[in-house]
Amino acid sequence: MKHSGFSLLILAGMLLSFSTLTLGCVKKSEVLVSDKQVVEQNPVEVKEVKEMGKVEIVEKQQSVTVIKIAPDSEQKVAPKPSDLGLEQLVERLKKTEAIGFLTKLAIRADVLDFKKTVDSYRKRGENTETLRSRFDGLVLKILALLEHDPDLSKDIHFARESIWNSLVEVKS
Amino acid sequence: MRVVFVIMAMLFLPVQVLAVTLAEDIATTIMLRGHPCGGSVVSQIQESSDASGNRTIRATCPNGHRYQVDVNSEGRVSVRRLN
Repeated sequence: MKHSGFSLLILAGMLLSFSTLTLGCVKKSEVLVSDKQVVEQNPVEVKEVKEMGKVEIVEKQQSVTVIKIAPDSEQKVAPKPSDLGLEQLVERLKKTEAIGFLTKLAIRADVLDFKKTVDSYRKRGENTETLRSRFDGLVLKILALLEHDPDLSKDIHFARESIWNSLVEVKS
Repeated sequence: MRVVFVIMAMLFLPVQVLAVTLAEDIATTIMLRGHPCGGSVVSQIQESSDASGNRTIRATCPNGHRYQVDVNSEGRVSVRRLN
């Protein structure tokens, strides 16, 4: 009896957490707004989309339709471009506690070696695209090390292309 | 009742960045340099440094291999097996 009481409480807790997670989900009759596109499930006229996570009112002729936008936690919202700058990411890598000091030094040495290789390829006029797989491997290695810092890991993943472009672009 | 509180706390616990220990850091560095370690934590750590800023760390992996991690004054890390 005592155990069944515990089980009921645990079940109640799980139900509570599940209901918390599903709060704010868009109902079938409403309009789902993602970060890039507007998907209309009802034929309504969307006039303006202001901010994520807010309820907006859209008028169509005489009827008023309430659009509920899914909160940020329900969507894959891309990080702001200001958070994805190479310098900011390097600073965050330096400060993160998910990687130890020695590991950071080892990664730094790998990145510096890779930069030297890219520079030498560029000087010889060779195609740097052949180094792309090596770059991807290096990024994957860093992402694997950032297992305990998922935010930074996600941002590096999103910034992968811009990092590559900044490495291979010809600096005047 | 305490068990319920613990479970509830685990359910709502936010993901936090956990600081790594020196033993984990050394093990990760050894594996990052391509050496087998057999685990994520080393033991029997010995550290020394010289006047020119070079640092030497010796540690034993869970698979029994003992390694020396050298960090020079420029921050370059190299690993070599001792046994």
